[in-house]
Amino acid sequence: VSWPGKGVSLCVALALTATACNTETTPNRPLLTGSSGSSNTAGSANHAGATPGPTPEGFLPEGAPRSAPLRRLTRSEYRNLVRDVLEIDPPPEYALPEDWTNAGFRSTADELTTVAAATRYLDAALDIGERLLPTIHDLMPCSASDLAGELACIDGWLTSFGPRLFRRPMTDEEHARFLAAFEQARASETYEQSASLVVEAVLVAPELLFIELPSGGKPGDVLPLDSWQVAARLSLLLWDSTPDEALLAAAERGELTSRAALAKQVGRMLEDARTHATVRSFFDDWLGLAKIPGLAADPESYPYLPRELAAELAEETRAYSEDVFQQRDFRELFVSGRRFRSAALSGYYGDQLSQEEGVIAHDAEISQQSFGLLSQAGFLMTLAHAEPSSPIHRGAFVRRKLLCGRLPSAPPGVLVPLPELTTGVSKRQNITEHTAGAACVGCHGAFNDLGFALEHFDIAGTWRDSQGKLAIDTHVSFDEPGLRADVDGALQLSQALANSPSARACAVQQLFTFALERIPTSAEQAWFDQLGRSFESSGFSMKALLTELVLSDEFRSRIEPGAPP
Amino acid sequence: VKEHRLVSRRLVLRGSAGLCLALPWLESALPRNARAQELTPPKRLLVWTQPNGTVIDRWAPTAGASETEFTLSEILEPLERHRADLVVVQNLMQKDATGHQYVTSLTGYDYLDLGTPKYLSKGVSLDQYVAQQLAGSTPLASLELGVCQAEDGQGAVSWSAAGKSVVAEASPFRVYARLMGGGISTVTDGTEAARLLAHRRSVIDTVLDPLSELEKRLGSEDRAAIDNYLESVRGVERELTELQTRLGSCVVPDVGADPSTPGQAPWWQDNQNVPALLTLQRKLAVAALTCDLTRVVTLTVAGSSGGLRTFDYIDGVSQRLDWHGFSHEVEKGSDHELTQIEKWHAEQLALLLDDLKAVTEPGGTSLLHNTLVLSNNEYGSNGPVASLPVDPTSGQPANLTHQPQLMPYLLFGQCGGAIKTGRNLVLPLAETALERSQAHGYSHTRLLVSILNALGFEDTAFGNPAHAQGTVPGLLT
Repeated sequence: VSWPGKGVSLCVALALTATACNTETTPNRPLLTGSSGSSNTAGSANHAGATPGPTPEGFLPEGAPRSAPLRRLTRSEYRNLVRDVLEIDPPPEYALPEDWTNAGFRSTADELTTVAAATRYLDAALDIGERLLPTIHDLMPCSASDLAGELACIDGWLTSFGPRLFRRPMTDEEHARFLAAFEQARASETYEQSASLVVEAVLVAPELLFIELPSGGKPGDVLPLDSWQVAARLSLLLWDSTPDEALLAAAERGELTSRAALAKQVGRMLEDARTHATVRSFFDDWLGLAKIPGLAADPESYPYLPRELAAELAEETRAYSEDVFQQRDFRELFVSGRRFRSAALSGYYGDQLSQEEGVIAHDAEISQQSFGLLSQAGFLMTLAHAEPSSPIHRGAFVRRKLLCGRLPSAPPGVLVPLPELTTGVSKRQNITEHTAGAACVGCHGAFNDLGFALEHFDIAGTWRDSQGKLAIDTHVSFDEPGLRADVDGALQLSQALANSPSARACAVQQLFTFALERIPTSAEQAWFDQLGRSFESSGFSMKALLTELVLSDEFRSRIEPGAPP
Repeated sequence: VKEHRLVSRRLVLRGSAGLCLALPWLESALPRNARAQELTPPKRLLVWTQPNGTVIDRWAPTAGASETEFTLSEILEPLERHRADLVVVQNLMQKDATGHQYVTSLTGYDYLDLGTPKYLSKGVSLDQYVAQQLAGSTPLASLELGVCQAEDGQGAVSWSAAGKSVVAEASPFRVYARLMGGGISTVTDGTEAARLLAHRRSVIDTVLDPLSELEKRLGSEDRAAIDNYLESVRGVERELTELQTRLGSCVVPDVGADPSTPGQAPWWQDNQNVPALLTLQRKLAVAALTCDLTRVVTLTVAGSSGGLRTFDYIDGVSQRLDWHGFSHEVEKGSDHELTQIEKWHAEQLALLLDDLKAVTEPGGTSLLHNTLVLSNNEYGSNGPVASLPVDPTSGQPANLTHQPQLMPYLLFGQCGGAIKTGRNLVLPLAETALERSQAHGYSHTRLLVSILNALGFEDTAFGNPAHAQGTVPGLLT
């Protein structure tokens, strides 16, 4: 893995200044002041004369696109399905098998099912069945007096609930399977017990647990999704749940393979409150925000940080990023005057913006201390650990997550005798000495500087003028195709990121991966560039970008897994 | 030790692992096997694993004139009563490790980094390998137990194959229910128990229905995922069947009801309940081995880096930092807290050994005699190691925080006579001065091979073939 080369002669140092932006920024208006001149095409100024393209060279990993893996429902999808369809409290998260990640986002992809995991599914289903017993007649009403009549009741239930549970009508074989189970149970159990057994059997069926995608072609074949599969994929993505009646009706009419009909559904669904949780889960996974509520700051070193504040610090960054997604310009993730504050948060930041209990939006001047994601305390604390500050973790985060840089693991077996830490010098000097060795600098060179720019924020994410008695030097420069800037401090770094073609391409890559459950590769460069251009022309609206992604042919098809012959 | 909060009356263990009335392995072994095996209990493997490394200068026993003469150190002092069953193995090194060493420790490979929380193994782990060899001998091939947060996304200990982690179960209540066949064996009304069993079986059968059309529609890669699910459900069924026959004659201690409140974080994920949780998982581990429900148990005392575990239950340890934080304090010259944390865990390990020793198996040997207990750690030492020769280039002792050298391995039990215990094995370090100062030693995969040999497997290598394998010299009888 190599870094974009530094040998390109087109170096336009962005003489960025800490100009306060108008806090009323709307998506299409100029956001940043910089030598690039134009707001929406800040990156293209650096490519004068070259073929304009929003994706920096070498940004996408080489190779053919990997197929979206067959996967099970995640915990939240399973729980939402139980809540929405069976209208009963879902099992707690921990009662279901663990979620892992697929390319950085929560998923069950590529995870083997173990006996212990299968036991959890079984126990969860049996528990739901038992809790349904007292009200099973509401769910599966039946006044029949003989077995044939009862079977007809169950058959009717399977017909009406099947599409929501299996995200398509159940097949004859599936009807027969569950009816046979009912009949067998009914020989020794009551109607209620046997009916709940049918629910339990449906809940452990592979047809429910696995999200069925078209398959059976040759590896590498592009197979179109049918209308039911599009509905399932759309609903699981936008609502984290099974399709609702309206979406199923559209699926039944076979409409969802058409872009126009799909657009109508997508518009409707994006307006629904259920997308809030989805958008938040996107940022939680991308930016690691789920760690904030559990932060254990060192109370001896930071007695002013009350533990109770962790939830509000989490809400600050979650609400901020969701706001950027829903109605603002993506570049405002890095730089804006918008602050989400409660009275307690205002007290922590010392900015007097709020006397309210809840965390809500306020507008203020952009300043060195407060300007966007990289100045938010909860977020910064997730990268702090138990050290005075952690430029290494912060820098690696910016490189990997905000610029989508690919860092190799430390080479195995390499044991580098680290020099003793010099006392009485700044953290920056310490780390620079510590990682200067040839074995270290290959990787650390790619991210140390990004972290040094943030050094005015301490472990608790609050501003410090100096590190104790030591001066802090936050001056760094970058000369890469996707990031050329000479900056001093976190605000200027953020402005450079907002102007960085790599950071924009990274946002496209993150949302692409979230929506399509696979990483884009160089074989899809043309489409990826197209996405980048429409992102730009929408005023960098992440919501518009997500819409574009789910309306794409790629969202409505799947590449057959397996290595191409 | 401070009083444990929240140990509810309901959680006081009823019954004891030592009360097994008959030994199922004997019954099942008799019909098919020769008489010579009548009184030979099976060998078991129990891996105890904890994170963050130790303070090696306060851990390593003082060597005497021979390997049987040694004085236990401050950290290992609570294990004095088990010294006759102990083998200390010093100076091994995890050659492939580069952080996230849980992944390396039982696999002998470095890891594949797909970004947090995906640090994937490149091979099967020792415990799972043994479980796979023994599959079918017991209702559960293996049992993986966690305490509080068993994993924090930094990598698991147990891997069934490259990239396939086996998640430890952190709820003792779920473990208990699993051992009791979905809780059915706890139902005292025979008719109701029979109905529940039949009901559970019927649900399982619908999954295994051979008529399922789903697989026919799938390509081979997708089918493999479904097959794996079906195979796991089949495993649930097998467990259920075999547990019914085993449990008739053996007692698993009742852990009581889960005190968790719905809608809140579970009781068993609350850090302050760790002492109670560790006790429960320990009792369940011993019961599962005693009753021969499994022959392989991995008890992960804490996930990699200890998660965010703090200690309000250990004397002399403030809540100023978490476990990981205190391990980094050692490099700043303060090793008091980590030493106390390590010592507390040695006390807990001693209790586990007490339990294993209290079980008498047919033929008169103890369960501990027939078990190999490996006390494993994620890392070696922390901070500068005074007992090492100084680094010839810097003139200072090496700072080995969270490094793979000087792994603090302990073995307990005789593994049915395969291991001679009561010894302190100090293995050689590398020959060059620089490598000696950095404590480069033999590959820890030698220990993994020795353990396999002790358990009766003839493997000559385990993990990355790039390392010289062989065994730990002098370990086996």
